[in-house]
Amino acid sequence: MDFSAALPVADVVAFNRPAIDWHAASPELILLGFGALLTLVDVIFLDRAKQYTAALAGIGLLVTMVPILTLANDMSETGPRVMFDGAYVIDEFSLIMKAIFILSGYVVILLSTNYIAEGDYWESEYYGLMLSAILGMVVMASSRDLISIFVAFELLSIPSYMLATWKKRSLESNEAGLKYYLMGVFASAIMLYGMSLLFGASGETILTKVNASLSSDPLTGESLSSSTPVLTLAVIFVIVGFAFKVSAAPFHNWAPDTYSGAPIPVTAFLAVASKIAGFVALVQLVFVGFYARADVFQPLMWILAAASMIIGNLIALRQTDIVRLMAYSGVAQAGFILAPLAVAGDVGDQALASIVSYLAIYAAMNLGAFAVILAAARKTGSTSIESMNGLFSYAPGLAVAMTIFMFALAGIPPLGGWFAKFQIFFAVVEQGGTWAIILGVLLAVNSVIALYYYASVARRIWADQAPDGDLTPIRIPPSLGAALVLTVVATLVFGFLPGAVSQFTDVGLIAGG
Amino acid sequence: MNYDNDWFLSVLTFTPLVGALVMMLIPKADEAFHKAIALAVSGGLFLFGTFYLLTEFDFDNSGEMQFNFDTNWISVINSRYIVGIDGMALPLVLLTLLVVPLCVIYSWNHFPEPANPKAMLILILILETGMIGTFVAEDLILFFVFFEVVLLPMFFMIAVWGGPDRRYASLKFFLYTLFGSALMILAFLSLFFLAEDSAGNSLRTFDIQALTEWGGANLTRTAGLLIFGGMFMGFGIKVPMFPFHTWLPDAHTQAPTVGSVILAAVLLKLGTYGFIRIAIPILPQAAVVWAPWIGLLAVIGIIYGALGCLAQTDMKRLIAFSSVSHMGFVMLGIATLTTFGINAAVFGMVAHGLITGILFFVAGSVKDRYHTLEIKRLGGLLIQAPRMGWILGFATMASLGLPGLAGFWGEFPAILAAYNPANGVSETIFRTYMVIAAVGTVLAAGYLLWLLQRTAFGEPSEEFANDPEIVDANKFEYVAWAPMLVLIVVLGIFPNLIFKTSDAAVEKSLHPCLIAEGDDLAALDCPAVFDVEVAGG
Amino acid sequence: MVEIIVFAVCAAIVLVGAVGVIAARNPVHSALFLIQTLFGMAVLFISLEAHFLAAVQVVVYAGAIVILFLFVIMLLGVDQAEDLNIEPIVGQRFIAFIVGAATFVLMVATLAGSSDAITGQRQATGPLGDELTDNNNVRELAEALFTDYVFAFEATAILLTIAVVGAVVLAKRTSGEMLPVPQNTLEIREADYQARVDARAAELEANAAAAAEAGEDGSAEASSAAASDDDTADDEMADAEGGDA
Repeated sequence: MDFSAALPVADVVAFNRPAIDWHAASPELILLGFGALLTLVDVIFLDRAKQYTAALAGIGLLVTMVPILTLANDMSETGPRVMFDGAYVIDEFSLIMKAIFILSGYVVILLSTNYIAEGDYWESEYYGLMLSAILGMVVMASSRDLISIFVAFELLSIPSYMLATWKKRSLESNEAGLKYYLMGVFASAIMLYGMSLLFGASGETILTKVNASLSSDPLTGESLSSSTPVLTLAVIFVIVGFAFKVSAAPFHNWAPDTYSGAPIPVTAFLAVASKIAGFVALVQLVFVGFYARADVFQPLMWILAAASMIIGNLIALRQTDIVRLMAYSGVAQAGFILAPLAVAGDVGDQALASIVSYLAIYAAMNLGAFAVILAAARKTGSTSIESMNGLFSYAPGLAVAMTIFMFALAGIPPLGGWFAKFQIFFAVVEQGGTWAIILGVLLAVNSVIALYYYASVARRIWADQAPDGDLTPIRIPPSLGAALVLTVVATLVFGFLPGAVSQFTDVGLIAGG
Repeated sequence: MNYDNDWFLSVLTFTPLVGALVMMLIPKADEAFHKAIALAVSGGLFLFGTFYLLTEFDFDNSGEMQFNFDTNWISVINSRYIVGIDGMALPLVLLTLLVVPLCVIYSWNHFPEPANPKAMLILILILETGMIGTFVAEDLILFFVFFEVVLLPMFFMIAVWGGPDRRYASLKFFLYTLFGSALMILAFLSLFFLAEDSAGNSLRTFDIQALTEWGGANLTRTAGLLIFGGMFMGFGIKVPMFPFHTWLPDAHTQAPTVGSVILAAVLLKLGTYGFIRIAIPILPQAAVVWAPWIGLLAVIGIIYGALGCLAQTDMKRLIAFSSVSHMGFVMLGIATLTTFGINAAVFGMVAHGLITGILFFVAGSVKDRYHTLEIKRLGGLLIQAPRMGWILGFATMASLGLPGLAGFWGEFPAILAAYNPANGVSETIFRTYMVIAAVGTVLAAGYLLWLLQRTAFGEPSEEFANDPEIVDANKFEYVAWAPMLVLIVVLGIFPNLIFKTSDAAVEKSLHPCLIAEGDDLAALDCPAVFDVEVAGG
Repeated sequence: MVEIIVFAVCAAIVLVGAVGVIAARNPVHSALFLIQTLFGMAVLFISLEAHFLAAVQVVVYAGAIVILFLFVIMLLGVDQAEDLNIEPIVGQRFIAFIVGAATFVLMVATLAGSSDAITGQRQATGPLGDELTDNNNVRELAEALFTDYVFAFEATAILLTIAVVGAVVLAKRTSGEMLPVPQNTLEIREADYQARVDARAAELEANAAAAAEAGEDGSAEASSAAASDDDTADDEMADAEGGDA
């Protein structure tokens, strides 16, 4: 039979199928496949599937590492792979960030295994949502246009909202999820408004093209020495949207409540992976999309960085709950990571390298700290700072690990964090302007303030008595133990052999160069 | 010169760390084994290290860096793993090697509460790695890392084994030092970016020797002063200089005996060593401008520390304040920027390390017996524990600078050096300082004799008169103290053991414009900042 | 000219609707106002010759989403006015007003201060694609979606699936009691909230008394009754929570 008469085939314009590089897209596809498999397994085997879901999710993440490694291996030959007219790019930056997301996701899965199985939670959906959030992050690392960035942002946010409220029968968890959701949606709205202004001004969504149009006046085509009001507004709105995600002050209010209400593994996930994803987006926007408008983003980043450091640190000093402490310290850490962006216009390469190093090291030490909090909470059932008292007397291994993480976060050599902080100083001092030096001094002062609360935690662990003199040891399940070992080793290696990290994190991203 | 023994300093630095790692793997219950390992590692390292250094170190070339090792470390920032030792670092390394095993021996049978010898010994060994590493590091970043490595163990030592106020003291110690080092690292980074050779090429190096050769040549005056200021904060807090000294009395009073000894004997020297190894050689011009201020803070420290001593009621706190005063002499010597002054400072560091070390040891032993260090409750040590009383007397004599003992050679030349400071440094000002410092020695004699009189002489107070716990020094204490006592005498009689070693290195570290005279100076064509200022002129 | 008039009328409809959504006390009315806004937007799209967008606006937003809202409102039975006079956080509204006003002023100033064309260039001078041939608006959009933006498009598909999974999980009833909230937080919040509810009730009663004196008893009685209802409801909730804890 001939259907051509029924269908107006002749009128159909030839469809130009976009070229798709399947190798480049394979990490995403594998993650997606495992996500679907998890759901399928759950549907078919129902409750019998429960015991395998965590393992399956973990395996999924490890399998996803394979194409990332092969892509990295090919990188020297093929160079960056570009798809969809520049909207989707696989380069060194995106590969290293993907690897960080997947590895930190893996550690979160390890943390979750016993916590979720022993608690009263939906299990397979948990891992399914976790994988899809990680998928969003992996997509984010490659997205180089406004629309992909927005979709990736939602893809990683929406599962996070739900995961935050996963302790269904706890009011606090409900509050955590709802607060996170409302603030997240608010941030999306602001960001979207900024993006629409950008699109209006440039007519482009691809970041490199946006950058080109930001550098010249749209009407006359002359190159712009300073920004126009609309461009300024657009850039500010987009950045503010992501400032919510990375919990930079003054957009940090959701973080403490959400962190303390959500299940601890989810908190670790939000504080590490989700936050890093926000930074990845910011970095891509700043270095690829807005690079021509350094006069706009540099002062904004300066303010955000300074405010985050100061506010985060000062409020952290007064916390009595260790998760809230981590939340505020996370705000302060966000300030540190934003600091190089305040000088990015002048010392782009170094600023980028310092941020990437910081993110890698930050992931290891923060996840580790949450792993210890989780392990300690298995015994004490509490996350108040007092519950850490005397940890050394009954769980010396955990105590040493927590000490390592706390002082790594504080940036004391030779633990991992020092090199992260050092690189930030390096970038800021390299720029060398008056404002940069003031920022450098602020960074120095804030390192000291931060040390106060990190050291206080360490002191409680070592110098105080265990509450009620209860010295029964903590039983650490194997998956949690594995997470601890991974993070401790990473933190120490980053500290002793910073050269090993910096080799990977020395990547290029800057628009047109 | 090419040395084929480049492995030596790395072995020296990292052996204690390896020992600590081994101990971590051994269960806590096996205390004797832990002590044995710690003693074997630190003692063995002392014997081997001293022997090797004394035989292999080329004393005729003590100005040169020896046992050099230079390899790639963090390539992105061009920071290298460079270690080396010269005549300036050698006495301090030997001091460290000596003090650590003595501390292990001293604490053998009485670890302070909450005991746990394993943890404490591990911390001591990590400390040793940090201290030796700082003295041999020849790269700014490496130096910074080692400089910070000592913080954590000392923090825990005070926080866990300290006195009743340990929480406060440990945090204060940590925060002060970290604040200084945060500014210091900013200064290091600025050097990295601002250093340019005469052709205008950026050096971009952290190599201390390379930077010393560069000597701040192209820096603007403001930049130089600011960078020096950053380093000054880092090193000055560690020394500690007035007005940053307030962490020291607290830390010393609360720290366990061994912690106090290590803190006084070695950790404080990291700051002064930073001045003479890094700040002054790299930025001689800024140093000239800063020198009067450093000298001022040094003499304020001398007087303030001495007056502080007179106001103390606690023996350990008194010794801590005397440290502030003595480190003031060291800093005064350094502030003169002359070979003579800095040699005196190096000697002063070693002498102070030995003398204050022994004072803290004795104070710790007194505390063990009397369970208090309140001076007015003590007394009659010479009757109840005569040998210990005499040792205390000996140490106070050394501390107040009695000629013939080590303390004298730290103080006297420093005062003398102030008579004639380096080119460009005002003689008028420094001669004033000299007079004030001389007053300080009188005060020192005052408070130390006062201490001795109230604790050692007289009748024992009633509450302790028949206390069976008060016994004379035991064998562990003798073993721990004897080497220090002997050295105090030996160095007092043969000061040249150190002066001769350090002299060449000190001279090499100072910018020629600082120390040249007459025609030599004219030939050097020095910048205006080095113009000679004559007293009254 | 016609365009201007259409724009003015539609803009008025949109704005009135938008204000109505927020201002209406009854959620059903809010939803209906939302439909008004969306319809106004649809007409604006048509006047810009973006026919596909206009259709989507009506079908998806007005037709599907708002109707869903209405379902939820009706099913949950919250179709009555809420008492909005109690501020959960003191000063919240005032600060919100300041921030909102500041942002508004900033935006207006920015846009007004720009060059004559608000965003510069790229004003649409004609419809996307050519209306007269087959190569029209819809086709252009489709081609963009399935070529350059296919990745984002597919990712959106995943996103929607996830949202459905999440919605199901969240909506599914769990067995068992609410987990206890740490006692002190609960007490603080409860006491705080209770104090304000009490204050409000007292205020309303005082008003009612004043009104009664003035002789307008009808409306005053109703409001005081509503206030005391709230009060008892809160008490019950507090009791329940306290019991669990």
